[in-house]
Amino acid sequence: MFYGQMEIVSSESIRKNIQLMVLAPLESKMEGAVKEAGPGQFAMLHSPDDSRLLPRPISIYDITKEGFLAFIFALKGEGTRRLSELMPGSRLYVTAPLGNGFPLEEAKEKKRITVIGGGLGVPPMYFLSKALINSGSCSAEVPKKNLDIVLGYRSESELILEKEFEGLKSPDSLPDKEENGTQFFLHFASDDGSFGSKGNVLDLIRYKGIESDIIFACGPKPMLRGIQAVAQEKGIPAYLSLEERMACGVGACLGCVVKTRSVNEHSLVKNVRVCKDGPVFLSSEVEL
Amino acid sequence: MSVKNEAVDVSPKLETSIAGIRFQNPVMNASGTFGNSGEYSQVINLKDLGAIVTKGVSMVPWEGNGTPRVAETPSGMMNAIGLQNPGVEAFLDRDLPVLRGFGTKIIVNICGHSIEEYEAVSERLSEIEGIDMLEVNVSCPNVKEGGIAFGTDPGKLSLVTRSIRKRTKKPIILKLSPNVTSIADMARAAESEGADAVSLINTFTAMKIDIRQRKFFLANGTGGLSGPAIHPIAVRMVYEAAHAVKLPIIGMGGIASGADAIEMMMAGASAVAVGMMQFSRPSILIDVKNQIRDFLIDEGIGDIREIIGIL
Ligand SMILES: Cc1cc2nc3c(=O)[nH]c(=O)nc-3n(C[C@H](O)[C@H](O)[C@H](O)COP(=O)(O)OP(=O)(O)OC[C@H]3O[C@@H](n4cnc5c(N)ncnc54)[C@H](O)[C@@H]3O)c2cc1C
Ligand SMILES: Cc1cc2nc3c(=O)[nH]c(=O)nc-3n(C[C@H](O)[C@H](O)[C@H](O)COP(=O)(O)O)c2cc1C
Ligand code: FES
Repeated sequence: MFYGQMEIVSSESIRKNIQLMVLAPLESKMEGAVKEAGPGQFAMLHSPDDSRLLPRPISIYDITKEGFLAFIFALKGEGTRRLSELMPGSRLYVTAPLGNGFPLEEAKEKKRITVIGGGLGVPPMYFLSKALINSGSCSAEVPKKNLDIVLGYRSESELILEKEFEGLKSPDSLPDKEENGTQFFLHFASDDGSFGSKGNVLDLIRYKGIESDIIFACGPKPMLRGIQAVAQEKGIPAYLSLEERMACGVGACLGCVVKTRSVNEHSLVKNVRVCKDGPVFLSSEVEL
Repeated sequence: MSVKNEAVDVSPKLETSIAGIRFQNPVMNASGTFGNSGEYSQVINLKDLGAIVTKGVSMVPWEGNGTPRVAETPSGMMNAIGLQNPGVEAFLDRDLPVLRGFGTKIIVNICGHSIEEYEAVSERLSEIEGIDMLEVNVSCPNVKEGGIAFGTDPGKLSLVTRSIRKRTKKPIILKLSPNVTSIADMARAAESEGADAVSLINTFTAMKIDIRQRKFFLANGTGGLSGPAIHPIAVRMVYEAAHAVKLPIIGMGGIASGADAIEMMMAGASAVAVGMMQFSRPSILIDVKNQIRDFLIDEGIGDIREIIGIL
């Protein structure tokens, strides 16, 4: 975990009320933050506004080839709106990387991997998908893999990153794609059917008969509950990235807990911290 | 005056003492905002703090409240954590050794649902090495029994103080609630029953409503308000307490800078604690300490103790 200044190298609206912000390390320690960051981890963006004092938790969407941290966030309330108004060249205090992130190693021995993103849960799944395709998650035992990426939106007007995910297919963005043997398929669903299949991500998975040995997901709670049920029914591990109201983001305030099914060995009660013990949890461990 | 002496004079003395315990500087974290196992040790050097103050520790594990537990408010925040903690044994086995490793003073904040639980925790900690003081939280607005019930009635506060005083050899700090008509009466109640110091203020009971959903914003309904929004009230209360009792005071409530800390000390605090601003600026404790030093240099003050309670 590092805390320091970063500089906004670009900040633009990619959809109505959706901002893409790219931050470069200003202090050398923040290069450490970039180096350590993995898929599913997040950053605290500290407010430049003295009346809104809590930092905003935002998932790391990508690490650019220049070594910058990229974020995609919705303009929900005043805090994110103020962040979106900062001009390139401005400085921002950032704490990163935070949280556990997705356990890539769990995918090593799995043949069929499913990555699911819903709405604003889509951006962190880009970082994850890239890592799964790129990192040579295949092994001698599992030389060939299927990766199904399922992205759900409310409607076409809320589409984000569809081109970037399509871009993962291009061999020049991923020169080692051939060798590491991960074949992947991209699926889109929208609630109103205006883009991809009509229905939610679980409808799509059922309809297309997508089978998985492991699931990684991020998105709205009802979607995660659905995945939790499917994972339980099929007896497969599902790693879900959760959200909760946060104050510190580093495990210090106990503001962000989620209920667990059994007593947690750290808290000694049925609570875990989303910011520190998560945000990614095995679906069988948490109450949603 | 020789050149050598002048060089020494440049660095003002920051050392302060409370109930005979010496602190290398007057800046510490406020309970509950700093974790219990060095959560911020990657950001600041914890050995540079005047003291580390723990999250509330009870006899047995406490589950705490439902979520949401925190909410942002103008220049502040509300919390209703409900004193979740793993209990005193886990604290002693796991957290205390980590905290001791940082090499500064340690103040353990304790809480209870009943007089018996306060007694039991203070007795358990009485002879433990490496704990410099106990801070008794009788002012948490977020737990149904205990907590604030003891901190808003001078009679009950006397009773808790007396009971704990008998059970522990450690110096005790009574942490006062601002949710009272007379903070002076509460400070006197603590003093008369043998408290070694008081700390104030804890959070103000507050409420936030989600107007779209037509329900309380926090799962607990009410929560404790803290942060810069409460700072001027905290300064007033520290001043009133300082004029009511001889006990040393640890002042807190919305401290966000060295200037805020100096203000608190001029009002009568011998040391200060920073709470919610820790979340906003993880380096704040060191920033505040440095700003205090710069202020003293700027004003030509050689020793921090010169400004304590000058008003
Ligand atoms: C681990 C994690 C990762 C996240 N990643 C992203 C992301 O990549 N992209 C994105 O658009 N959003 C993400 N969110 C949600 C994002 O943090 C909130 O939308 C944002 O904090 C809202 O701030 P605001 O100033 O717009 O809203 P306000 O309503 O003004 O915020 C008030 C307070 O509530 C908190 N808050 C409000 N909504 C949420 C929420 N849904 N979750 C947590 N805290 C909230 C704010 O942080 C702030 O403390 C993430 C949340 C978490 C916990
Ligand atoms: C998230 C949070 C948790 C807290 N937990 C405790 C606690 O366990 N025990 C306690 O005595 N005070 C607790 N407090 C109160 C603070 O220690 C402090 O008295 C109060 O927040 C005022 O200081 P501030 O305005 O600088 O935050 C807590 C405050 C916050 C914000
Ligand atoms: S936000 Fe403070 S513990 Fe998670």
